[in-house]
Amino acid sequence: MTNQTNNSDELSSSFRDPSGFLFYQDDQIFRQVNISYKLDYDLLMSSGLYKKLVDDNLLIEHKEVTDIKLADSKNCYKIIQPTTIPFISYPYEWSFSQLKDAALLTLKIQKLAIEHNMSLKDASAYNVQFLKGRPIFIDTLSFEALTQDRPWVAYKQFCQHFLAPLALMSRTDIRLNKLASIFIDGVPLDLASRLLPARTKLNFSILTHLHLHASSQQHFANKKINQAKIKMSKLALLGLIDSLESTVSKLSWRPAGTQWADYYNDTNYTDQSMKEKAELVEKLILKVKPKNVWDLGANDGRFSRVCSKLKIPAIAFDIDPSAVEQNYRIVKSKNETNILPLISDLTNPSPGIGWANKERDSLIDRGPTDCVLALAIIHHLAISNNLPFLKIAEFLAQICQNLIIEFVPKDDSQVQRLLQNREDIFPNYKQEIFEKEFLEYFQIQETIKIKGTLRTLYLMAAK
Amino acid sequence: MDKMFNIIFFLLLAVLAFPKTTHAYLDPGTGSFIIQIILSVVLGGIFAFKMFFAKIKQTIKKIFSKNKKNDKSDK
Repeated sequence: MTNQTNNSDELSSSFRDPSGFLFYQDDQIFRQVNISYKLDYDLLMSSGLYKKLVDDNLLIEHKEVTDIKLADSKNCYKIIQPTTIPFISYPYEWSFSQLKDAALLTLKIQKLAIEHNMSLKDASAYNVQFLKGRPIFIDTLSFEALTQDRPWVAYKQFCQHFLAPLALMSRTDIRLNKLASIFIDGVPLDLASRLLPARTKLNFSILTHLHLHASSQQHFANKKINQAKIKMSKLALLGLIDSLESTVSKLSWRPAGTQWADYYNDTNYTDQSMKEKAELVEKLILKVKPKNVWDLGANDGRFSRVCSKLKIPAIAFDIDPSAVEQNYRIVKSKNETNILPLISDLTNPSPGIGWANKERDSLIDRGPTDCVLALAIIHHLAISNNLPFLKIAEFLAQICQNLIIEFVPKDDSQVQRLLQNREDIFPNYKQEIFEKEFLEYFQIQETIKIKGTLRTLYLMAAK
Repeated sequence: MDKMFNIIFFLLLAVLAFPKTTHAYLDPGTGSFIIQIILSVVLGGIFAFKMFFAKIKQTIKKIFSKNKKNDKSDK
């Protein structure tokens, strides 16, 4: 192993890259550039590409640092300190447009790289993160000098990480975004080809980049070919990138007819009590003054915006891809910088995946957060998912210091709706039992009845 | 060129007639390179045309806007 280091805080997500690795020191993140990557790093910095990408907010900015204990001095060329990303998210948590924007960002960077006689050597979706509402490329060591007449080495990876899942989400089923969590190096193209509807073979771009690509992989799988003889001009390379760009741009998905799409139009909240609830949440947030907030079951981010308006960054989690898509579109159209909408099923949050289950962190490992907003979800967890209050409290205490939680009693129309088609096997779904069991893990600091409803808002602090 | 035609024909036939699974232990990298080369012949051509017409469009626009300016200055 060339990346052997005494520093125990080397990030387990970057060990595959021979060009360098990420590590933590004093709670700050650094990236070591190895000597083997010297020429490419120098070219990135001297060609004007780095400046162009950073000026256009496409690549994460970094500074070179010298006053730091070297993690691996033998191989070290330089240590750089990139801007910190406050919350790392993964492609299987992104909505359709988030993945699409990440794909277009990657292609835009590749085009600019070619202009500067460089090229991306990988096109992994994990190289993109969301910062201040927009996607940004974070792997400074992904660039290499453009070799004359060589095909794009990351073409396959781009198709697996971006094109295949986007086509599947757009043409087959939006929930296929979850394939990214099963296949860590992107959706295998033969699988994508089988899952896509037959009519996509009539679409020239999908036919060539996915279906024919998959067949070609199969046909040449065990054939020896002298790759040095394979030549591709710069014009052809630009043509390929241009075609991928127009293919991705044309893929679309319209959120409609999902679980929560009309949720707010269909509750027992009047406009007045909704306004009142927002004011109460704001009051409690101002009391806690958290550095960051996780809004669980955020829907279109209505209450996350209470936080973001106070300049408190909020992650707006929801299980529904439609709600997250709508939320992301609002973030984009209003240029909001403090909300990150993400798809997450609270009853099955993202696990740790990849090598040793450590390459991509679980949701819990990316916490805890200063404050959780759990508004109008307790009945979904306790009744729809049969979760005892104690288990819910235990989980929430693991992921937050402060908790703003809404209790929705059995008489509430939303709970009645959940009980409509099921036997009421929830004799313990009572406010006093909720309080008693949450007190095992939290201290209740404030209790407020929401006017015009049967519901109660609690502010709690983890014990 | 004949060889390339044969490959394209074979791939088209394969994808339209016999969708099959690949085996994960085989490295699919070579196939990705080959399809890229075949595609790039077509896509590079399309791109060149696109650039060519974009330039023509730009030139016409320039001439047109110059004429407009001239017209204005004439007045």
